[in-house]
Amino acid sequence: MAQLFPKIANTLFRVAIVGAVLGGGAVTGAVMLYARSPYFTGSMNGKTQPIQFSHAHHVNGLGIDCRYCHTSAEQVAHSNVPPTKTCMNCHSQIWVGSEMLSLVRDSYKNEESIEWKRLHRLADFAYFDHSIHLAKGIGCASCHGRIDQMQAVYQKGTLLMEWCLDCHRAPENHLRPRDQITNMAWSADQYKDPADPEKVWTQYELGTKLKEQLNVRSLITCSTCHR
Amino acid sequence: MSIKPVVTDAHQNEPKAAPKMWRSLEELLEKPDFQSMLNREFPSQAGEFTDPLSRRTFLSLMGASLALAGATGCRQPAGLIVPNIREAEGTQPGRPQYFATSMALGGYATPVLVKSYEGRPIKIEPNPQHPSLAGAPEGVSAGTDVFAQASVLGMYDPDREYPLNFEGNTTSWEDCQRGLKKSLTVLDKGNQGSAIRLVTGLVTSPTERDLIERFLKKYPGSRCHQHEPLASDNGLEGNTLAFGQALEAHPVLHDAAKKVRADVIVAIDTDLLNQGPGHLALVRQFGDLRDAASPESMTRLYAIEPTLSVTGTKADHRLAARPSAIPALVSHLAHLLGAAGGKPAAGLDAAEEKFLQVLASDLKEKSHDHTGKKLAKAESRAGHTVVVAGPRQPKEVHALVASINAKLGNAGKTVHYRAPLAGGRPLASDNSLAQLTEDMQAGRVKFLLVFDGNPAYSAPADVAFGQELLKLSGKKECTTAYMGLYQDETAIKSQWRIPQTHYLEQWGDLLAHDGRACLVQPLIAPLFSGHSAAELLAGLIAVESDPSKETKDAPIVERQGYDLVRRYWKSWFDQKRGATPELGKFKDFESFFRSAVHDGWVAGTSVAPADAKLNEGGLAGLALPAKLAGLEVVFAQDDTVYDGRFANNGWLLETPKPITKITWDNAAYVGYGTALKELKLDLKREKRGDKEYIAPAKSFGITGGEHGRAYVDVIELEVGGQKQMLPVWAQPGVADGVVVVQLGYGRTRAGRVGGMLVGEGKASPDKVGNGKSGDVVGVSCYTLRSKARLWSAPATAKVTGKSHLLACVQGHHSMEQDGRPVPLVRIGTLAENAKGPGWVEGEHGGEAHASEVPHGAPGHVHKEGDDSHGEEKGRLPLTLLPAEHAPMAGYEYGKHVNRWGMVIDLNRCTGCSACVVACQSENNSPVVGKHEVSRGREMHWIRVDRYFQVNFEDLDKASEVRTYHQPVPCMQCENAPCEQVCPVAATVHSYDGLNDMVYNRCVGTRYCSNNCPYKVRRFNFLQYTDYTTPSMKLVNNPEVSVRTRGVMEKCTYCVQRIRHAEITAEKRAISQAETEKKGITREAQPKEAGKVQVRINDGEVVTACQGACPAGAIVFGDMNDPKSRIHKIKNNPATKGLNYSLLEGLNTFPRTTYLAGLRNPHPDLEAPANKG
Repeated sequence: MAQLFPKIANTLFRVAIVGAVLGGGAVTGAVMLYARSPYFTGSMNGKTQPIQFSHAHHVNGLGIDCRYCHTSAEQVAHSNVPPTKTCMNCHSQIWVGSEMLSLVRDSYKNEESIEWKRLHRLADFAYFDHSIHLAKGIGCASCHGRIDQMQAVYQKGTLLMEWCLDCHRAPENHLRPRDQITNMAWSADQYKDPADPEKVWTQYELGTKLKEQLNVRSLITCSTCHR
Repeated sequence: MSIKPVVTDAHQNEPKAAPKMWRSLEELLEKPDFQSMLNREFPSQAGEFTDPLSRRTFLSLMGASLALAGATGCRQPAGLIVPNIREAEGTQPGRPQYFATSMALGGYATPVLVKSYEGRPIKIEPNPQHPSLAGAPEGVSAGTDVFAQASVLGMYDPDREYPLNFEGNTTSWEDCQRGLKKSLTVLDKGNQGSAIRLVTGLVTSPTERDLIERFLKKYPGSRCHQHEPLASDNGLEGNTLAFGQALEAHPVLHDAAKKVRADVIVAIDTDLLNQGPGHLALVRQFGDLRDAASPESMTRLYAIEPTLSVTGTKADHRLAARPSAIPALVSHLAHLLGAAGGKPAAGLDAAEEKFLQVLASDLKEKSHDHTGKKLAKAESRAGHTVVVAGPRQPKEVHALVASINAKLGNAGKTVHYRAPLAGGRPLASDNSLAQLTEDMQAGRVKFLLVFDGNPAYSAPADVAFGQELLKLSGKKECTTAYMGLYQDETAIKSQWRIPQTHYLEQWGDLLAHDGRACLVQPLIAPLFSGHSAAELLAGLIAVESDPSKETKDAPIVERQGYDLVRRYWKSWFDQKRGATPELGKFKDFESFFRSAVHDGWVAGTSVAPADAKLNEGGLAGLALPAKLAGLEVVFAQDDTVYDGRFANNGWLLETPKPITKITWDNAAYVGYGTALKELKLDLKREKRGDKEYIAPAKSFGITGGEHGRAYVDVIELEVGGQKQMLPVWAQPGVADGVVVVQLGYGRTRAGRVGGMLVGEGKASPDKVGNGKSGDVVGVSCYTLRSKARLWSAPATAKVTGKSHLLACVQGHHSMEQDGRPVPLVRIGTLAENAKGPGWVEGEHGGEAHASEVPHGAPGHVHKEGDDSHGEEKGRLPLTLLPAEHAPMAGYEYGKHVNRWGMVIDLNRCTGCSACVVACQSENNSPVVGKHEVSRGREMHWIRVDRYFQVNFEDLDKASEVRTYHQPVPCMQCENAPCEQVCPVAATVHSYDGLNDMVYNRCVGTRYCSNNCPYKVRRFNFLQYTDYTTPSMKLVNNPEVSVRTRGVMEKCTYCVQRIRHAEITAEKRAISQAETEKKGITREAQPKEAGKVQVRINDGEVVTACQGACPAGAIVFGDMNDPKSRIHKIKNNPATKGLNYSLLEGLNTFPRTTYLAGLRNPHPDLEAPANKG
């Protein structure tokens, strides 16, 4: 009886075994990578908004504090996108004829909301509270990045659970004095301790000090965020 | 790792003398089928996939949805952010707001607070400051009932959607008003005013009453008929006999401020703790009088009733009597007390005679103290008792009760008499529905407007309103209009069908049970473009402009609900302002009205009790109605659908009825004596010893019997020539010779949930389906009622040989120990308890097991928390594990984090099930339907176990049945068995010791549920949550994840509320620390001074069940906080000993514990049990 398999079958079989292991690994790896890719998480992706509002201009150029528009961030879970009225506080006085602002004026006049495209979309089963993060001294920039340098805002973080946990496990890496939460350009070396003005602080040192001072916990049990 | 359980043999603790406690008959009989069920977590079919879908369809659907999931799941879905133009005053996106309003039920107000997210009402809470619910102890809010809790779902019900139409053709509100007004004008001009008729329910609303009066005046000769199926004039007529004027009797059980307390309460055929206007206040007052902390002043409740009502289950002594026998019993009681009108009754049996004699002496004077010792000198009870008669009893009984209360000095103290609050009561025969129907038959009606009710469905059998309405609608020259929430049985027979607004969508006003006016304000614009009844009436009488606007009798020009309510109260305010001191604090009408809207009630509207003088002479010749022989049918309000108006509310239909635990159905309840003697049912018989007894479920053993699938016999009930087929349910406690039927089922035009028969068809039990969409639910018993006999009637019954499936949950989730069912409710008498709380623990709780607790073991920290867990009494060894392996060893709850705990007071709990619906509403629990309930798949996170205590041999002695209720949520074990078996760590402990359930980790192995000794975990066997109906998405609480198929879930202690309070407290502490330049500590008793404590104050976290409980039976709080109520309860010497955990021998250390119930029997009626 003739050979059922040609000799090359041995080699092919070995290659197939190695290939299956490597290939399986590659597929798993690819899925893992994909799940973390900006394509999936939406991070680093901007969107074309109906109005070309520039945070860089308003924050960096004009020095408007975040909380002038995002009024509820310090009070409730949800940080609001400002109502048209907030825009009109200034723009009924300046740039009243600007073409770029016609949508704002129309919205105000016709009582029709501006439809902004949503950038940050946390999973529905995660319950994030802006107010408590700000109260503990997590700056806006820690999660949202340098909004003051963004002409069009994009999502900075991945909003994956591991991204949250990075900070929840070690909040000292991100804590800052509570009066600096909206300071976009803040870093620990700007901190001056009145008792020891010469000392140059590292984030870890300062974070540890603030963590102790406010008794900040590292909350990583499930019901902290999932209900 | 496993922990060896230390067994305390609880069922052996039952004293030999006391009757057995059991939940279902199978449990009592210890049937092998029950045993095998007990050893499984779910009934045998629970895990099977037996959907109507075939496997092939299912697979193809799955394939399709997977493919779709692949297509859509790659990217985050795009979304929009649509901010407001201007932010409304006081609003912030994401912050819930609370508004006070009132829900109408049977015409009266239930005061509520409504929680609203971004203009979307999602949860009903009680209005804690409402004076009509006063009597609540400090820090405890008043409660609500099941109906109020479920009303949110009712508002979002998509079946409410129907266009305003004229005989099926959509039309507009303006055209409708014009059309109706034209017909009215034609009749008015032709001097046919008497052909104009209105039909309303019971109306207490001052604005609506004013509008009706104006309508009647504007169209002279027109008449307003009333039809409220559950309203009774018996009380008013009885008091007319007693006092010469029609008065309502309003009992007050407890009012600390006025030193009013009822030490003996007698409920005569009345469910005063669960039904009728004012029951929310009464049940709270009753709870306070039954507080375990003050046993020496505990009240005693006697009940005389034909059915087993919720009130009856709380009674210390209960006399089951057929309704027609009750007048003689009351008359005899009056005779024994020497009250006017009382006559000795002949033919009482010895038990009745003794009951009444002891009752009479107890009403007169206190002869024994709470320990059961005879007092040297009896104390008079004058003015400290109350006798209450129910709406089903004839007027003679009410007259006698008024006489008894007068004799006992209760009038003006525990019972107040007020002029009738509702308009047109007592109902004149001219204004009845029966008279209207007669007039319709005779052609005397040409214009008919029906609102507030569904008379075509709920009229008695001998009032053929529906037929006449249909005939009238067919006549060209006649106009018929119906306004209602649904296009229901009455609507489809009318020409004009006008959608009505839900109470959460409209402006209005109502009276509370004590006459105080309450305002109704809208929480949302009408979802299905409805209008309120007031707006409809106003549209028919308003004039275009009014030159003399300022005068009181000026015609109205307003057409909007808001303007109408304002107008009424403006003229009221202007009139009363000078004369009412309460109104002095308001500088103008604006501030008065704003405060009324804010508070939910109108200042200065409480109704002073009338001065009632007993007309003794009139009572002397009182002729009592005769006692009936044979079967007697009793018509009762349904516990979950009221009079049928909530028949399309899935939350309510799925709520197990407090006593029978039946869902999605009604049945004829008969006592065991009746079932045997009168019905001659071919029921399965059980031989025990040499006697034969019956078992209720016919085919038990094949189907799992009562475990969700009870196949019961169908009987044909005949009342006055009317026949109806009904499933029969043998119910311990129902008086001999009585068949109890609940009204409100068998709706044929309720909707997709409650039944929608398209075309002609008659609902009957054998046609009733398995809870599929549109199937008729239950059987209507209005067809057995007649106008002369609205509440009880002689009946005959015969067995049909058919059987019907009832979905009954009383056998679900049975807890076991050593493989045997165990009653886990502990009830003792006051006398027993006076000897010490040892009876709660049982005989195995001795010191023998005391051991030193290793440091770090979960038990160790309890000492610091200082509550009364087992180890403090030295009853249980803690854990056999070394300290470092003990679960949650690193967390010392006693030191610095809140230790959340719950105590459920069995003394206060009445089993009303408001907690069940509140939990469902707060936590987005789905409705599963009858088919699924009958497989043990209901999704309620809190269940109320109902135990009967009676021996098998005494089942037919209805008066001897004792009933107890025990709500069972997740125990939040510190040493949780569920956590140890989850392969994916989907259930784990949180930092504050909560047993978290993580839906996104859950893979659905159900091991946790199998290992849960309390059976409190619920599994989404199928996709129960409605993801598709738009309005059903709105009802969800945005703070709680909506679960999908294949996920386990359970009570979380409302963790969303805890986290919210925690965040608030943290922020508060941080801002305080910053201003005071201090550090922050979380320790319960801080060692270092000068630090700001993060403190969640007691009362800042109220769980949904706790908030809804009208009796105040559920107490939740931080056991580490010495100021918290839960800490006080667990440390108060009077209640500490009553505190026990379920199955504590399993070493689970439940955070949820119970206060054992205390009964307060009269020593002459029940000798102290010979225990221990």
